Order: sequence, then C-alpha cells, then structure tokens
Amino acid sequence: MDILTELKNLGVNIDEAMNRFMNNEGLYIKMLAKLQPNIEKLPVLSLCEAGDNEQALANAHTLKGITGNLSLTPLFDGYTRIVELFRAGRPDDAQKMLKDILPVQDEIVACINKYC
Amino acid sequence: MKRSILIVDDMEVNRELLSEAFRGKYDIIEARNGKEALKYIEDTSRDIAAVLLDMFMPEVDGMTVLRRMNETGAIERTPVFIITAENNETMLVEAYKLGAVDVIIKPFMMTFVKCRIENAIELFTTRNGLEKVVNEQVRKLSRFNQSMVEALATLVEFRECESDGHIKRMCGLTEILMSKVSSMYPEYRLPKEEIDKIVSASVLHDVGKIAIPDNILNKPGKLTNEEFEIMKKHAAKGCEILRKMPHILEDGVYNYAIDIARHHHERWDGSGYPDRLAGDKITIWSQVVSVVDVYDALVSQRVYKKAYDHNTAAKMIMDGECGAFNPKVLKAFELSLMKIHQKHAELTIKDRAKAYESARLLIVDDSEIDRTILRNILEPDFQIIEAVNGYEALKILGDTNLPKIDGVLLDISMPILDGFNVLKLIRDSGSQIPIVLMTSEATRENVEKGMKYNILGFISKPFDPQTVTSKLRTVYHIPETEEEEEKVSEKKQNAISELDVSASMTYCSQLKNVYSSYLKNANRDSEPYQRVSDILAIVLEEYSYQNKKLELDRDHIMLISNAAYFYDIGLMGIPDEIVNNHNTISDGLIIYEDHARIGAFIVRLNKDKACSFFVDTCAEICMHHHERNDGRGYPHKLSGNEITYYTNMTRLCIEFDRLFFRRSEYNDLQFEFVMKELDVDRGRFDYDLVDLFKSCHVEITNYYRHMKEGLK
Repeated sequence: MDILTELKNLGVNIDEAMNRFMNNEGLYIKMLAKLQPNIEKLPVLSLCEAGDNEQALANAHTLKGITGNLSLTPLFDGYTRIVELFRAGRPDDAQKMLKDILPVQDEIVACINKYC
Repeated sequence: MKRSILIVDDMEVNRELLSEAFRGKYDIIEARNGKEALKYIEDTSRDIAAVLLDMFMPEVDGMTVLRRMNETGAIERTPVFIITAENNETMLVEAYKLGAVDVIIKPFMMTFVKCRIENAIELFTTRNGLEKVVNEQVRKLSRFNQSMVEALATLVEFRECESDGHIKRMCGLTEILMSKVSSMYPEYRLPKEEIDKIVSASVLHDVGKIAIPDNILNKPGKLTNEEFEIMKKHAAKGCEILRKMPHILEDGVYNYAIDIARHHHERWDGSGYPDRLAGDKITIWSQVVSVVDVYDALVSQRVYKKAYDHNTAAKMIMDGECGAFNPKVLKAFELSLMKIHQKHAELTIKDRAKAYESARLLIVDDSEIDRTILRNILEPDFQIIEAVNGYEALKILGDTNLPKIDGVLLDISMPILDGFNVLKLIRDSGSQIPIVLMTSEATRENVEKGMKYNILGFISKPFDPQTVTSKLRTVYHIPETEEEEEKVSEKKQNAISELDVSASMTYCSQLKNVYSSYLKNANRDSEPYQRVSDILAIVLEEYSYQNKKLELDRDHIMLISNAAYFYDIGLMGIPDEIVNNHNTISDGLIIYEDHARIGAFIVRLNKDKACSFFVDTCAEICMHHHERNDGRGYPHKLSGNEITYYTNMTRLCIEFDRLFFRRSEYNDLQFEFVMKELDVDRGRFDYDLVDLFKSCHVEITNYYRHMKEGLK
C-alpha cells in the first residue's frame, strides 16, 4: 500500500489534496512531512491544561490552516470546531474535542513518518 | 476613527429608524431641518460619509440643501440620498440633476437601503481622500472604463465568432499606419497624443454589429442583397450606440470613436456607406481604419472565407479590389507593409504563449506550506517572490534595487505584525499596489476592514486553485484555457461566502452606474427596475419560507433581487427607434428581441468567480425574461420548469408592476383586478407561481401604497 492510499483510509481527502497541489504528488508528500514539526511547534493541549487559552486558540487556528491545506479532513474539522469552542468561551469543551482528535492525529503522523 | 452619517429629517421616528441601521459602524449626526444640516455639512472638520436627506422639512427644505451643496462643491465629495415618500417626478428629476446619488422611496427595505448607501459611501470614499488615492482611483476608473470599452468591443468579436485578437490587431495596425500617414504627409500630421486617442477609438469601430441579427452576422456564405443592406446598417448604428454612452470614453477618444464607427466603410470615390462621403470629406483617421479593417479581414479566417496570405491581401488592397482608397494612404500602407506584417504575426494569438510579461507577485505568509501551495498554483502564470512575515514584505516592497512588484498576496493571520497592520503600513506609505488578502475567516468585519484599505479582494483558505487563478487572472487580464473553464463550471456551489456577496454587490453597483448613465441619456426611468427588484425580494422571502429545503438565505435573496434590476440591460445594444417602434419598423422585432441575449452577454463580461452566482442569475434573468409558461416566448421557447423559478418570478413582477403602478389606488381590490388582467393571457404564468404571488398581496400592496402615500 502507498502513503496516499493509507492516508485515504484514515479519512484524508486525497482527491481534494491533489487538486490543490495541481496533481504534484511529490510536493504534497514533501509538505506532509512538515506536519509533525508544526504540531510540535504549536502545542494546544498542554497550553490549554496550563490555562493559556489565548495561545492555545492561536495555535489551534494555525493548525486548522495547515490541516486544511493538506486536506487532512478529520483534523481540519476537529481544529475548526476547537477554534469555535475557544472563541465561544468553552475551553473545557475545546479540550475534550482536542483529546478526541489527538489519536487520529497521531495515526496520521505515524503514517507519514513511515514513508517520509 | 469612525466616519459620520448625517440624517436629516424633521421627524424623530424617521431619524431613529435610519440611525439604527448604521449605528456602530458610523457616528450618527442628526439634523431636524436643512439649516442644521448645512451647518454640519459646511463644517470641514467633520468627515461625513453620506447624507440621508428628507425633502420636506420646515425652515430650509431638502432641495435647498442640495442646491447649496452644489454651490459649495460639497455634492462632489459626499453622496446624498434623498429619502422621501413622495413619488413626485419633477422633484426627483431636479434632485438627480442637483447631484443626488439615489432616491430611497419610503417605506424602504432596510437591507437594500443599507447596501445601496454603503456601496455609494465606498465609491465616494475611494474617490475622495489623498491625492495619490484619488489619482489611483481615477486610473482604476479609467481601467474600468477602458475595460468596458474593450468589453463592448469583445462583445461584437464573440458574437461574430471571429478568431481571437481582431481588436488587438486593429489597435496595433492602426497605430502603425496612422503614424506613417502622419509622418509622410504634413496635411495629415497629428501629434502622438491624438494618434493614441485614434488607436483607442478604433477598438469600437464595429460596435454597431451588436444590433445585427446572428443569422446575418455569422452567415457562412455570401449575403443576399437584402442581408447586406441590413449588415451595412452597423456603421450608422455603431455611431448611435456610442452617442448614448459618452461617459465610458474620454472626451477626445469619444469624438474619434463616433466618427470611425460611422465612416470606416466610406470609400475614396464615394461608393462606400452610410453617407457616401468621398475624398478628404472622410476624416483621415476613418480612412486609415478602413484600410486596416480590410487588411485584417483579408488575412483572417472568417465564417464566409478562408484567410489570404499577407502578400495577396496587400495586393488586393493596392489594386483596388476592396474599394477605392486615398492614394496617399495606400502609399503609406505600401511602405509599412513589413511592419504591418510583423505586427500582425506577433499579435495573432495561437496558444497560451501570449505576448505579455508575467506579473511579479509577492506572497506574504508565515506558513511555509501555504506559500508553497500558492507558488505551485501560480508559477505557470506569475513570477513569485516570498516573504515569511510582514517585516520582510515591507523590506522587499521598499527596496528600489529589486524589480518592481506588481501585486501582493497577504495573509491576515501572522504573528507580531498581522496582515491588516502590514496593509495599513503599505497604504500609509502612499503605495497603491494591488493587494489581495488571504484568510480562512471571511467575516464581514474582515471584508469591511480590507475594503477600507482599497484591496482588490480576498482568497479563502484552504486554497482552491481554480478560484485563486481565476481571481488573479481577472486582475492581471490573463485568459483561462477552455479546459480550466470547464473544470470550474463543473463545481457546484450552493453556499455564498461573505466575500462573494461583497464582490457581487460591488459589481452590481458598478453595473448600475453604467446602466444609469445609459437610462439617463435615453430619457428612461430607472424606478420600474427598482420596483421589480424590491417586490421580487418580497416574493422570494415568501418562497423561501414555504420551501425551506431550498436553503434560500438572505444573501441569496439579496443577490437574486438585485440581479433582477438588470433584466432589460440588453436594450443598451438596441437603437432607440427600434426600442420605441419595434412593432412598426421592418425587422424591428427581430432586432428588438435580441436584447435578451445581449443583456446576458453584457452581464457575463465579469469573469470573477466570486461573482458567479450573481452573474449567472442576472444573465439567466436577462436571457429568459420574455419566455412564457406555455413555451411561446423567446428567445428559446422554454416552457414550464425549463425556466428557472426566479426568472418566472421576475417575469410576473415585471408584468404586475407595469399594470399595478399606474393604478390610482393601491389596495386589495386593485390587486385583484390586476391579477385578473394577467390571468387573461393564461399561458404566460404557472398557476402555482400566481398563487404564491397572491399570498404576498398584503406586503406588495403596502409597498406600493407607502410609495404613494407616505408613512403615517
């Protein structure tokens, strides 16, 4: 199985990604490799737990953008909701949502690391 | 700092109503009469974005305020909206003549009033301000006007199904031959600026072909004598059409354009048309365009002939096979042949390797992934430079050693110095470089903030390559390939983003300006179109309420009803005597009916995908507002469900208004009479639609009543 098929099985919208990347698979995979460094640079859960909701929101917003452009649909939808919850003044619900998507995020990162 | 809106009305309740609509975004200043209003208006320390002016007030009335604003020049800087319950034509005409931007008849639908006023504020704001901003807006307006000129010319080009580029070639070759004639013959000498105007004017030489029926314009074989007589009329008609649109051309260009449109088929020996002028009675510029037009026609593939090679074409012209020309012009033509041939070859468009230089775009985004995606999308058409943050962007833009940047794609959300701050710093430096903002959150607030700094538009994240390329190609005039156009049209979009609404309403406002100019020159009233638009909104609201699964939200309703305003815009392409007498002039009806197709074409000149919902809706209404439920309408004899629901509604609103507006009373009884009158022609409208319309009788009747009687 190749990386794109595996990611598709994890809910990634490969068709949309290929459209966005003008069918340049190599470029897409190269950008996928940047996901993990960005996640590490932009913690959300730890900041949330420490009470720094403002920075957590800012990081979640950035991750929303990244996962959107990479068509990582389950993560994009998740971070979109998380941002809405933070803005609605519901950090506890945002944290709950975050804990729901983190396992999916880990799976996607693991899949990418397997090939890159 | 917030700008102010001045509300002038002697009744407090009216002032309150209007204040509510704009409070928050603007500071509200209230004046109880004209005397108070003038005090505020003449206080130059106040920044008044718009004046909402009631006409009937004690002490100093609205008309006096308008006259005073004319005397002081304040009318040029500040849009004035007349708010009145009176539908007094004399008063309204006087108000328009004194420079009122628009008239809002009470009772009004606040959403539309707000939109119209805010559009006008934006237009006036970008007209006023710093000198550089004004100049840039004048240049933008010139480009828009020039775009309209080119668009009108392209309209003809497309209708004729000619090969691309005839217009561009006409410009290029006219410049060569006119310059040669001017340099060779003192009696024909013209300064460069005049030659440039002639070149611009030559673009519209065939605009009269808009009025020629398709079957003649695109006939594959030789025209009959009768058909040729109709075709010949395009010269005189072109002149007539241009006379109706003085505002789209600069003064000097205008005079050349009407002369060239009328006389580019005259011939040296008087055998031409329409006026059979001979010799130097034909202006030298019309003589030059004649020769260039004939040459380009000979060397181009047309529906009725194959292309001749360059040498054969030149010989045919020199030997008089295409009519008699001025021997001096022919001499100049002969001596320019090599240059003409080269220019023609250069401008003949074969594929995407066009004769333009790629624009240099600066992408400003802290996300490497976003910059990479954009570069990948845009690199085939543009040269891309990247900046990772606002500081780097400002450094690049300010570095005069680097090649000029043609445009900026600017992310809003960046750390430390966000996009809006960068935008402000760029504009404060005096630069009017085109800027497109990028955001994942197209909130109304962001749209308004961006428009304040004169941005070109927004690109949403995550990026859609088709939208990105389409938007930037529109800005930098790069045509799409057929494949790309097809791909985009396959995408179905149901929701309308805030950006699209904003872009659509801006286009609507621009189109209204052009249309208003035409209507004023043609002495035609614009109020019927506004009434149709307003009552269509009422019907759509009811329709939406009854058909929830349609997901017709307020934005859809606003765009559809505004689109309906332009249902007859195609009449801009029909000569007045045909519009007024199409039932009595020979072939008048055929030509008149073409306004449906012309209207759709005019509207579709805007290729911005952000406006696609508005453009598609408007074009559809233009094209099919003369269809009938029973299929006996035109142009396509559509019937029943083949006609879109909003076009059917528009048709009913048009006919209803035509009959109801002239009633002496607006009440349920009169409403019923009108509906019965409409019912006489059974096949015209669908019964369900009529029932829906009847269910809105209270709101519709109230709308008309308040127009006539005023608020109690």
